[in-house]
Amino acid sequence: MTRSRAPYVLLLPGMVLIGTFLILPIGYGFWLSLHEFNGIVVGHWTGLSLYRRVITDAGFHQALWHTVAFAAIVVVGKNVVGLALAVLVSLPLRGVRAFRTILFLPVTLNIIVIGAFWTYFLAASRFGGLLNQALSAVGLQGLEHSWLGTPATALLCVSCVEIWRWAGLHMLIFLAGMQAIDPSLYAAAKLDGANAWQRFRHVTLPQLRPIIFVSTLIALMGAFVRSFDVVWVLTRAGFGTQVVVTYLYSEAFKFGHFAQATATGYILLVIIAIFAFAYYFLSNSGEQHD
Amino acid sequence: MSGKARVILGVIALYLATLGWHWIHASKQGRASEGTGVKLVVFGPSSWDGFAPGAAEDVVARVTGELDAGFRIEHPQVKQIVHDVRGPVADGLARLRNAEVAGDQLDVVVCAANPVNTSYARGGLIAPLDTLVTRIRERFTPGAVENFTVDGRIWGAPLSAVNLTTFFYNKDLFADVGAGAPKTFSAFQALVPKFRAANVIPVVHQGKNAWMWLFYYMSALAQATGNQQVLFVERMLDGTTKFTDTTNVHALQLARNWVDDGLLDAQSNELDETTMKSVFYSGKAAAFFGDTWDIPGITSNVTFHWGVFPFPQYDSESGHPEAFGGVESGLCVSATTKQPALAEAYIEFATRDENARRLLQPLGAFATSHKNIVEGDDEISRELRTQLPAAKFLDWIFPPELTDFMQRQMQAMMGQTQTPEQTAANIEAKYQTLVRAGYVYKPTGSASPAATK
Repeated sequence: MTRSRAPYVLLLPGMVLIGTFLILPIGYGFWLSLHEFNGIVVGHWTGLSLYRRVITDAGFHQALWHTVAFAAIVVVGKNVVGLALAVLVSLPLRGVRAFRTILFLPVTLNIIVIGAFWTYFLAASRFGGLLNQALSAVGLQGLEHSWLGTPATALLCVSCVEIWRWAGLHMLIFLAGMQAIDPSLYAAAKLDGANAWQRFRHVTLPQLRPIIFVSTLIALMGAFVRSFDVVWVLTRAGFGTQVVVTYLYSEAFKFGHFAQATATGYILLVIIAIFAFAYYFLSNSGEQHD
Repeated sequence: MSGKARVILGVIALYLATLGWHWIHASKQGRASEGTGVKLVVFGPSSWDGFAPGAAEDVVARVTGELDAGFRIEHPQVKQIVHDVRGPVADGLARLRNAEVAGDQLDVVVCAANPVNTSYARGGLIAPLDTLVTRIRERFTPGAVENFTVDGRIWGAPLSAVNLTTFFYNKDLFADVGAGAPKTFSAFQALVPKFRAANVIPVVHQGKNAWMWLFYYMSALAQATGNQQVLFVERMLDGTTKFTDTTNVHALQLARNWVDDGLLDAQSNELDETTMKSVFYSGKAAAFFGDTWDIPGITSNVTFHWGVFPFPQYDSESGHPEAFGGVESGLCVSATTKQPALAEAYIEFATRDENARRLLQPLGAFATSHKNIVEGDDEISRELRTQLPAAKFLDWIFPPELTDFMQRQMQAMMGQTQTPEQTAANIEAKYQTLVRAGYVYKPTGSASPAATK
């Protein structure tokens, strides 16, 4: 084997795996979305008509709007809370390691447990809801509310639970990034008379820029494609919390519209790609400008 | 080759040899079990779709074995009867569809009435059974066959316990406020201040399960239409009447009155089945509207005296209270069977009184699909039998997309976030969307049996 061929031969097994289990299914799925499909048998060619049907469906518009709102809250929330926690646990305090572990615990919890806990926590006082009972105990009865049972607050509550669930992971991502920052930068800033906030603003944040990019991208994709479980366990997609992935699930498994569900999946892929590329170019242009 | 590499290769060879031996052994076993003669496959799309569902495994095995043994005596050419019953209820449709498309042998299908009406019949997964069921129709209780009638054809032979919608109530809490089972809505409403004073929720509901809200709508519509709810729904579905029709809006308002008048907890939308039942079991709520499939749970969980009563009479309405449900399961013939005559013979055999009694007896039901098989002589069973016959669930008639949408709309309306008028308008808009997408209503061909009572 010549030296020039060797890298390609070594790459071949990996490429075959990626081609078989990633590229091929994506291509096959797209081909299915252009045909009638009942879940098993592929029917005749329908072209882009299913895409048109999804795009013109009021239910999809509503689900997309909910998804965008959910993503906006969750992406900002995970990053802000994650970064704040990372700053907090990076302080040289006693018991900080235990604190880090506690903050990471929600990431390891089963979604069913999370659903049961938060449903109970947010329930009405007479059903044992702790939040409403606490509000009542401190004389704020007027704020008692059906948090998960009304469209005005259900999506916000689901978003908050999602932030609570994943903030520990984003904390770790930021913490790893912060530990990689050269300590001499902080020493230099201190010499220049920068206070704690100024050091965070002008040293930590710029140095974390690539980490923020990764964290945002993970949060963005999670909000668009992995929101099913948290929505389902908390509201069963009711009360104004129907998102695109629960819409897709209903189309496929409740109504048997498998082809339409497949088309919905590809529309979602395009939407995520648009958001991700837009964010990538905005980040890059900012970097070049700096 | 190094010693380490030889060891690794040896382990791989041993692993492959074990796999090969297992495959050959399994194939031999399969061939041996097939034997010679005819094989009949009784397919249950979900684990609930078997004989005596919910009974202990040894009981299920015993009654199934006795039935099969009796059938093989009458049909000696049948050497083997396979019961393939498994999987979650929610995946039943997919499992049946997959098995048929994959070409598996399926002869008899144990079929729940709900998917027969919503999916199996119109999806071409089962074959019509008009000739057989018409011939043996006198075996069944009134309304049983109607639950398997879709598009004017009969698709299954009833064989199950009867279930129906009913109110469950805590007799002790009602006694504390000096009341018994209320017969009318206004009588029930009059108890609200007394329950409130006793810090008891009058009625609780599992509102998080959106499909359960339709129980209130159906019950109200039955009375608002003078028990012509099936005909009324059919008119809405064929476009003759709109969902915004005053009668329909009135029915929605009647349902909403449960919340507006303080009977039903407005925050019931937060409760799933388990939480709602724990509220009722713990004595925090006086009643809930459910189905007789809830009886085993109540029996084993409550310490107070409990009872049942039918959906109360609205004083203003001409229709009488109506229970929904009826026979919930039966036997169908697979659309892909190569031996339809044998499958029909099995169904005819299983639904004979003496055989059906064997299969239904372990359920201890208050009523069954068979008029000569009546179980349960306790007070609850006797009360429930007075609520028969049950009418067909209306969500078996609506297209699934509309049913799902209506459930969400009812959930919003009962949560007091939209009015009955808005709810009706939204449902009409969804219906028009379905029509534009090609939906055409096909009559079920089965009227509500209770409408003629």
